[in-house]
Amino acid sequence: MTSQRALAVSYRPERSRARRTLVPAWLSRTWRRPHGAFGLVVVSIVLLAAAVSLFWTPFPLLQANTDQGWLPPSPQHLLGTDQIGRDTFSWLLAGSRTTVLVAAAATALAAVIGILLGTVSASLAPRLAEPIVVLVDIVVAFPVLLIAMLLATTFGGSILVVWVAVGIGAGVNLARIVRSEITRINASDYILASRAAGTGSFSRLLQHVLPNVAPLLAVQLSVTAGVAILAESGLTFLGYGASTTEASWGRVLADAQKYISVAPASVIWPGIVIGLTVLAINLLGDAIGEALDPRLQSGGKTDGD
Amino acid sequence: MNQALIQASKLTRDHPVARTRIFTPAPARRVLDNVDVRIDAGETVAIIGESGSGKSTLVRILLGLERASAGTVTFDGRDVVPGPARSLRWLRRRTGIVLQDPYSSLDPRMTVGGIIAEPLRALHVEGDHTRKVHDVLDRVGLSRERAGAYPHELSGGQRQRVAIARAIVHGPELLVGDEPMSALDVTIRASILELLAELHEDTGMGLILVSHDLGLVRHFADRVVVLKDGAVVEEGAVDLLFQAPAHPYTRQLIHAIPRLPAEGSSAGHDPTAAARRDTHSTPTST
Repeated sequence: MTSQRALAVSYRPERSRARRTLVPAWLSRTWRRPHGAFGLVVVSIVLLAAAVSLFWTPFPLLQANTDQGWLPPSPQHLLGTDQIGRDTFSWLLAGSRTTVLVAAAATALAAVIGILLGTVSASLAPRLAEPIVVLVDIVVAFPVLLIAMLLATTFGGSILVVWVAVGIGAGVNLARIVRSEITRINASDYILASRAAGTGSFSRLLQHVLPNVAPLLAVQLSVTAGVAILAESGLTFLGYGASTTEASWGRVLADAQKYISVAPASVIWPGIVIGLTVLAINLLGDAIGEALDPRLQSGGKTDGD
Repeated sequence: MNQALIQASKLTRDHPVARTRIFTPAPARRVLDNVDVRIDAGETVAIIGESGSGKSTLVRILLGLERASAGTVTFDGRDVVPGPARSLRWLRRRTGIVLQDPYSSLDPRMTVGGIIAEPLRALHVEGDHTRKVHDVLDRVGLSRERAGAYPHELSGGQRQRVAIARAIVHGPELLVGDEPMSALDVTIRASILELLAELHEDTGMGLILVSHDLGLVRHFADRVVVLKDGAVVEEGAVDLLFQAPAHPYTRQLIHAIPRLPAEGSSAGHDPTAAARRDTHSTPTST
């Protein structure tokens, strides 16, 4: 495959003259779109917060001061305190760690399940693919919430339950989407032309099929990541997710919700953080999907023959 | 009689149709019905027929891209059996195909250079691939800078030139054009036809041209095969076919060729005579 590599390099000059940086082209194209830039900034902040919280939070998470309950935001307590005087900002900072971890892990699991099942079921002979399709359809029939409840009643509620439930639930949905997209691509003329050029089915999968699924995949996986964050919050809220001493955004929201009549403002912070992050991830996914599609780049069609 | 390059006998192809009743066997539509075709090396053959006459299916079976329900194809004496890519590499090395729609036959995610180099990679062709790609770009009349472009940056005619470049880059003996002109507008159609004719003359490669337009191929093909409803209704040298079409369907196709009003000459109502009159480039026809 060295010749292929040599080719790939020799075809670049016209393009790489314009921009030669360490940043991959699709990433810099994402950055140049407003919604892509917004998504990148917010997601980076969340990732940074998660990293920082590993070493430092303004206040120890479990340090309670009952005489300092419901403090309003101040320079000391940026977002105020909760009913037993715990620092809300510290909890949200630490919560990003759990939430980011669950979202990333669930998205990764969904990606593996979705791409694997989708590709295999689209590539096999119909007779062999049928059982996979039926299995996927059966699992799709179970909502994520139901899977989480089933797992939680058996194994007890935990972050792991959230991870597995969201990963499987989103994964089978993704499998269906990937399968139909691959089926569509396999029927296209450029696959026939590639077959006539003598390519094997595996190299067609790597060189034509998967690159053409990539934009759709970027969008779908970002939606999955958003759903995973919401699911973590939702399931924790319902008691299937993070335990009461584990910091997570869903935990903060669930605790604050109990006192919504006493301190309505305390619900707003986790709500804003969750909403903003989910929005940013979805926008980022859209922008990456667009950046991966050469048809959407500038550089117009030339006229004439 | 020397050996044919392609010899197809009794090719039949049934397409399954969605079943409407549960207990009767799934119905099938016969796309090809007992077709015999013989193509000699270096020959230019036009396969003519209306939409749905099975002409695309026929050439795809000839190239082992689709499976026949019955019948056999041999290429240079060797059986063509659809199967894994490796088992057909010998055939792929000797053939190339240009598809109808240049907008869908090029992967939008691949550069022109990558697309054209694909047969070289897949068939393990030896030599400097970059140079071969540049040579073939020159050959089809595209500038070498186009190697870095994506298909959407090119016009329809340029895209079809890329598709032709991909089909000939590995130096096949036989080029198949599956209606390579019908998606293009008229002026570009002529230039693509010219390019194909040039390739045929310069390299001596055989050419199978699938078309629904008899007029387009008459100055160009040695032989014409007329397909109707999956069966060969007429076959023969192009001049003979125009002079004395035997089958009513062929006559109908000749009638369907749009032509300019006869300049100055008497208005004979014999369509074949009219056809002969505007044939400046085939003086042998009379």
